[in-house]
Formats: sequence, C-alpha cells, structure tokens
Amino acid sequence: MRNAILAVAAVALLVTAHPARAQSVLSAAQRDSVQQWVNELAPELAGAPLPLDAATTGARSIPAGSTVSGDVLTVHGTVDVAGRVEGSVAAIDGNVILRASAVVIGSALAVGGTVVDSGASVGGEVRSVHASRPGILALLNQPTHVRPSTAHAIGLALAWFAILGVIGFAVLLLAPANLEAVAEVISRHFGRSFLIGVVGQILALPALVLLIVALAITLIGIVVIPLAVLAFMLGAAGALALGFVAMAYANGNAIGSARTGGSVLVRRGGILLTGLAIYAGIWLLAGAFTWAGVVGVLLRALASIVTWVAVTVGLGATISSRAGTRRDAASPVRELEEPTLMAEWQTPTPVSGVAAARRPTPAPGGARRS
Amino acid sequence: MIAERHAPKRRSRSRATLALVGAAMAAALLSPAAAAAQGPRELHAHRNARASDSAAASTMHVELRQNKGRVHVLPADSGTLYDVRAAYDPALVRASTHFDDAAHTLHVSTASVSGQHIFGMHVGGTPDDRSLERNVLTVALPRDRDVDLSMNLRAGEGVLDLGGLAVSGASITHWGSALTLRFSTANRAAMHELVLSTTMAELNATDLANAHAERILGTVTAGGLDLDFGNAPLAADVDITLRVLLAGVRVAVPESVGVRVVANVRAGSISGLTKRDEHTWTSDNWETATRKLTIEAGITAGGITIERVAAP
Repeated sequence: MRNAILAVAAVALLVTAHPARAQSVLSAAQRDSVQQWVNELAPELAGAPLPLDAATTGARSIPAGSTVSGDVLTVHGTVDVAGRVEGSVAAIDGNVILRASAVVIGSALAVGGTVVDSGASVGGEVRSVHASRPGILALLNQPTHVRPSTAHAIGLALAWFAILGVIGFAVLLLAPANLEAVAEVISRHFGRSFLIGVVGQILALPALVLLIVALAITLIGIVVIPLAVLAFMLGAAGALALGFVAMAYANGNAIGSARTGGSVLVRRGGILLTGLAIYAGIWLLAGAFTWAGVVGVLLRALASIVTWVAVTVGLGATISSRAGTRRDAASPVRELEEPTLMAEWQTPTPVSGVAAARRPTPAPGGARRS
Repeated sequence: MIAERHAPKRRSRSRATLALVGAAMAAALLSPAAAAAQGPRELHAHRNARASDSAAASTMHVELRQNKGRVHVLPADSGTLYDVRAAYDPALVRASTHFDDAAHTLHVSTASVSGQHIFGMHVGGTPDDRSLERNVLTVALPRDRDVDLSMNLRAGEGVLDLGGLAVSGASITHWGSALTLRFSTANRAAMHELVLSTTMAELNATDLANAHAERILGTVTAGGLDLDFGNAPLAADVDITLRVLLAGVRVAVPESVGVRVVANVRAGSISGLTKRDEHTWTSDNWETATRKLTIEAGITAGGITIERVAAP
C-alpha cells in the first residue's frame, strides 16, 4: 500500500514538473509532411518561430502555476495555456487557447487553427493562419509503424493507373484506329520512335517560343498568344497521353495477353490493361519500397527511367504517325501484303478463251487471313 | 489485331474525334493539379501595444502592399499596436505580415501569384469583382503612436480611414484602382508630407483639412484626383505640388480660403479662378484671406478645377 502511494505521488510529481512533455514526438515522416506544409505557408508564417525538431503530437496543457522554459510546439492538437511559457507557443493543425492567467513571453501562433486569447499577457505577436492542409490529417492519424510516404506512393501509383485506364478506354472507344496505328509504329520502329520522341521533347520549348514570337509580330497575334499557348500545351499533353497509352497497348499485345473470346473491345481492353499494369506494377513496387532508403530511391529511379522511355517512344510514334492518322508510317510491308493475298486465288483469263479458272479451296487451318 | 484496317471514311471520323479525345486526356492529366486546389485562406495577426513600450516614443513605420483586392486601413482598438486581417484566395495572392522590432516597422503585403509573365508582360490574372470579394485586407493601426504610412495598391479598391490616427507622413501609390482617403476626425500629429501618386486610377481624398498636412505632392497619370478641403477650417496654409498628365484634378476649397495656382500648362486648362496673370491664377480673396492654399502644377493634356464650397 505504501509503495502504491509512493508510485502515484511520483507520477503526479513528474506530470506537474513537466507539463509539456507528456506527448509523443513526431516521426521523421510526419515531420517531413509538416515541414512541407509549413514551407508551403512560408509567406504567411514569415518571422514565426517553428522549431519542428522539438514538436510533439496531440493536445498539450500547461496548467496555471506551472512554467515551461522554452518554446511549446505541437502538431495536430490544441495547446491550452493557463501557466507561464518562457518562449513562444505554437500549434500546427490545432488551436492555441490562452487563458486569462497565461503569460507567454514570446509569440502565439496557430496554423490551421485559431489563437483564442482570453486576456493573456503575450509579449510578441498573436497570429492565426487558417489554411487547408491537404493530406496532413490522414498522415498524422496513421499508426506510427506505417510509413505515410509509402502509402502515399502506392496510392499515387494506383491513382495514375486508374486515370490512364480511363484515358485508354476513352481512346479505345473513340479513336481505336489511331491507337492501333501508333502502337503499330512502336512495334515496328521502336528505336526510330525513341529518337523522334527525344527530339520532340528537346524542340517542344523552342517551338513554343517560336510560336509566340511569330504571333507577336502582328497585333491580332498578340491577342491570341494566351490561347495559342493553351492550345499548344493541350496538344502536347494529348500527344504524350496518346503515346503512352499506345505504348502500353503495344506492350500488352507483345506479351500475348489477348483473350480469344469476347468482343473486340473486350479483347483490346484486356491488352491495354495488361500493358498499363506493367507500368503500374513497376511504380507499385517502387512505392512499396519507399521505406527502404537507398533501395527505394533506386527503384523509383528505375521506374522513372522506364516510364520516361515509354513516354518518349510513344511521343515519337505519335509524331511520326501524326497521331495515328498517317497509315504508311506504320509499315509499308503491311501494305504490300494485300495484293499478294489477292493473287492467291486469282487466275488470269486469256483473251483467247479458256475454261473458267477454278478458285482454289483453302486448306483447313490454312494461312489465309480472315 | 494491330494491323486491322479501317475504311478511309472511318479514318476521317477518327481524326475529328481525336481532338476531343486529346482535350479529354489533357483534362484528365491535369486533374491531379486541379484536385490540389486550395480553399480560401485567412491570416490574422495582432500585437498589443504594451509589448513595445520601449519603442513607444518612436514613430511606427507601416509598409503596406495590396494586390488584386480590397484594403481597409483604420484605427485600432485602444491598447493594440496593430491588427492585420487578410482573407484571400491563395490561387490569386499570398498574404504576408511581419513586424520588425528593430526598425519598428510593420510590413503587410499581398503578392500576386496568378497570371503569367510572357516576355516581361503580365498576362492573365486580371482582377474582377470576384477577386475583390475574395481578397480583403484590413489593417488597424495604433491611435497613440506616430505612424508613417507607405502604401502601394495595385488593381484593387481601398479605403484609408485615417481619422483618429497620428499620421506623421504618408506616401500612397496606386495603380489601376479606386482609392478613398479620408480624415473623418483630426489627425493627431502634424503631417510633414502627404504624397499621392495615381496611375490609371481614381483617388478621392476627403476631409483633407483634418490631415494637417504641411505639403501635398500629387502625381496623376491617366486618371483622376479629387482633393476636398471642405469639412473643417484649415489650421495652417497648405502647399500643393501637382504633376498632371492626361488627367483631371478637382480641388474643393472653402470660400474663405485664398487660392493661387502657378502652372505650366501644355494642352490643358485651369478653371474656377477668375484672375490670371501669365502662368498664375488667383482667387479674388487671395490678398485678404487669412488661410491660403497654393498649388504649383505642371499640366500636360489635363486640367485643374478649383471648386468653392461653403465654409465649415
């Protein structure tokens, strides 16, 4: 019994002696996320002291009669001050409540919250910044053993997979001929498409500048410069997207994932999703190893290189085939196949008169194309 | 399957749909950026006067910059050194405030972030009624300190209600905006200089007799300037220097005040004064008036109108 009383007394003593140390310290990932938000709010927080290394999470209370030497900074929680703080008080994603008995030698700051001043003595400035904080709440609410950046990377990869899937199916529905033409160019002229894509990327900015200069020569042209810039950027984005989707389509087709059954659209959709899944898989793998330091960085670098090559090849194929509208860019060999096939069953009839030629009957499972 | 052929008619149809698809793809690609758009933002900063007691005797300098929005400057509650409230759209402007203890200077600014600079020319981001509603800045200044105000307003609207403050100096520059400067009650300090610069804008300065300004410097380019001294008796003679280019200036003066204008006029006019001698225009009561207002002006394609109002 005596020991229990002593233990309770010791705990009470510790709590009252260190009223501001009962919270958990920010993890490195949480601190990075908060720092990113703070950096984004740099103009609004000009001159405000925010020592994130000393930050804790959750609510904090500094009761009347107690004193904290130094700054108090908490993330995702309210700071309730009734005592004395010989520094500044700040809350990120939370409020600062200053009771009438509170004495703050420095400043009081609430980011993503409000400083509620009930007549406290504050030596410095009282500042509140109300700003949306994208994602920070979800990150801070996650269990500490899960790396938020890993989940973020995986979610990003899945989101892009979904977006590109939607784009791909839109192309399949609305312009399948263009998609297949670009994919065919990729299949037959991979190296050439890559070179054209690299040149296209290098020349994109000079082309935009040239366009603006050309328009600036005339008075009417100056007026349409913003529209021309917008159209150029939309066109470039469209070319990149079409090229990448076509690249994924070509990849899916190359690994032979097409089903034999189902409609044409379903088969094409299967090919496209297979191709996109290759790239999504690479990024998911890289995202899953975000926590792994150098390995994660290397995997992300690999994924970036693979994706850049794919986008570049797709862009080159899109340019050389004029977004799939130039049929002869794909393969002149294909064009030559038709007369040969046609000649298989045609027999010239001499003018002198010969009994009608007999049409050959194709062998079962023969090489004839349907 | 890749080699499937399509009829030429279908190819042309595909070309037509390609543009739509391209736009849809671009929109989808841009969607993450759109999703990251932020909501309205608020910044509130204030400081109690007692925190700066050591600097009570010195003048407080105020540097105020406002872009694409409304600004209101007024006296603060007793005991407050300053109170700054900004409500704005971060997609248009970014607000910032900072008090420099050493220089005893308050910096408040909203910097434009919208629009693009192409070859040095700002394109887009033109302010409209919505931006005026979405970007509102209110700055309250202390009553018991001398204030030296420097303000720059661009593309917005402003009301400076400086009555009740102790304004020792003010420099107001505004461009493409509408601004009202008002001294509804007497300035608690003698203002050594009031500088007004207006470009493609309208500035309406009322109750100027309460400003207690020893000298007023005005530059008006392609806009309008209205100086109204009609609300109170002048405490001292006033000297005004004006540079007018493609603009009009109206000066409202009580009938009891003597007025003289010395102007170099190039394609312009001076009206409202009866006597003229070369470059000098004077009112009938110039010799007998106990309070006098003198204007030295350079006018190019513009004019100055002296309007007599009833004595307060």
